[in-house]
Amino acid sequence: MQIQLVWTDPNSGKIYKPQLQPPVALGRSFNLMPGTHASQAVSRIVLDADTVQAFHALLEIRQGSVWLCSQADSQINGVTVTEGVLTHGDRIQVGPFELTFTVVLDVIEEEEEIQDAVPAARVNQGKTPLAGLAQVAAELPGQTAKALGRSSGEWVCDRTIGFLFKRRCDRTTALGCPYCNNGQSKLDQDPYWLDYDLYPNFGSYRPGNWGYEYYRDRAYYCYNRESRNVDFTEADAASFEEESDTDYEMNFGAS
Amino acid sequence: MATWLIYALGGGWGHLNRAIALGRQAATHHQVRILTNSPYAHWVETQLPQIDFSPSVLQNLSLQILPLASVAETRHQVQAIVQAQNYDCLIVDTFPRGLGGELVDCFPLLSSIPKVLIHRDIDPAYVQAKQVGKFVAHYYDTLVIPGEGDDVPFAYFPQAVQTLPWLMLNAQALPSVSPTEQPTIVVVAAGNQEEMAFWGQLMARLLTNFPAVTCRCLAYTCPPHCPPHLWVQEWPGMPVLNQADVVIGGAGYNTVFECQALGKPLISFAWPRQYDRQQHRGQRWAKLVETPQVAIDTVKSLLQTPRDQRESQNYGNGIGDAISIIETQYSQR
Repeated sequence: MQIQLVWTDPNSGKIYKPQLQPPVALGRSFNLMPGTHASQAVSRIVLDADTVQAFHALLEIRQGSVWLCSQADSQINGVTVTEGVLTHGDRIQVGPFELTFTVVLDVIEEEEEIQDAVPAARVNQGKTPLAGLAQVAAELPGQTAKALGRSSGEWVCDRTIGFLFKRRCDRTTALGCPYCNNGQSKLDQDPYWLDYDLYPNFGSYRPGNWGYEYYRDRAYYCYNRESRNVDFTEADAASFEEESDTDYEMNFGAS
Repeated sequence: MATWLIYALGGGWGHLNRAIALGRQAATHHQVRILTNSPYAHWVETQLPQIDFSPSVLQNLSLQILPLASVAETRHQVQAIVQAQNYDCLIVDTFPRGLGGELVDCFPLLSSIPKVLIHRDIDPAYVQAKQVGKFVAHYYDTLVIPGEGDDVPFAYFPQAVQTLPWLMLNAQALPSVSPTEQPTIVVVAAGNQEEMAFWGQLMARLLTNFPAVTCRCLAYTCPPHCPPHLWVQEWPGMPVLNQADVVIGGAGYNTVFECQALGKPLISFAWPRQYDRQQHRGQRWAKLVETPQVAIDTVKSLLQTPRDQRESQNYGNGIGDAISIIETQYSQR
């Protein structure tokens, strides 16, 4: 199983999107994170912040699922955990870093598309520890863009969008984007900010809160590409939609 | 006296006109509030007393005009209005889920309120993308299809009922046609800036090609290049259309069905819209053209036929039936 972690370095503003083979260690010190785990090479990701422990957390595969095992305070989708299973789209908070976790599907197809990026991808597949990722990761957005069929070096929007399931925008143009109003809105202008009032304790997923069941059942919210149906709230359905679908219901001046 | 809330959000004229056409007749017996964000709503509101509305109708009919705001804020405002439940029946024009999808969150809370959808044609791609049919089947008590028959996505739903097209004025309320020596071409100009510029240029070409014909442009604002003395700002537009020998316009709901009711040949340019299929409507109900030259050639051909300056044909209006259908929704509860 191959996974992708996506985050923005709060210090430099750089975006990282490595694709990795678990186990993956997260921490402040490269040398103090384990190089191997259960006889497997560990990819080590350096997250440089005082509130991140030298060896903070480990992502590993257990019975086909990816688990986060944390040595210190970590959160999954806003819930503090010592360990928990990760599902596609989950947000992992480690210190000031928010990493979006995704499972990379159709690896074979993607490998065919990213022939140019093979050397870097190979580095990330676990046989070789991801030494000094922070130093090489500046190249990764371009590689990811290529993997998605885009030209290398293309701009990729790193705005956080969506409602309950926040996600990275990842568009390559702001033109026609409903979230940033063609690039006119500032990064901190959330189009759903008024909607949060409608949902008490928005963002809290503990029992008794509005978001509890949504979080508990999050694995079931699968987007059916054929029917384009997601039995969920509007903004979250948008998290699963194709780009053309999101153009609807975004303009009150339409007729 | 029951209170009706008509959801008529949407840019342009169509939703507002349809809602007022329904509301002004229903207001003789009901309180009617029309929720709108049409850019024309404020002006239309000032025109209401100038048409034949009786004082009691004016008292019972009100436009609730949403201020220009962001999408999120508009959603929020609409949800607050709809969730207040200070009405007996909710009538939604065209967009079952709300134009911004904002009704989806409200409807589960409105189980005691009868809900009626005014089902004008809507793009099947949108219906598919947002699974609109499922939502309609689940939440709407009645679908009223005003004039487009079976040619709309939910025509075969069990709760669908068809009526004649809805028109602002009944035949008896139309002013008489004043006989003229010259034929008259009326251009109905609406749309965005680009479209308005197109209509203005078309007016200029019509004047050059038909010097012996009276040309008028019915529009809210005078299009660029259109001589101002030929611009007519009048609402509702049916009396102006009734003076025409030929009408040129888009293929929106009101233009098409007003011309059809009045027996006026309509030459249509089908403009692209996100939800409305003007091409689809125009193919069935108008003479679709794609270029100004073809429009001019079509006008020439139409003007060669003998003029018919008789009084208006006595057309039907689906509003009366629609009111009866809607009234049964809450009287049966």
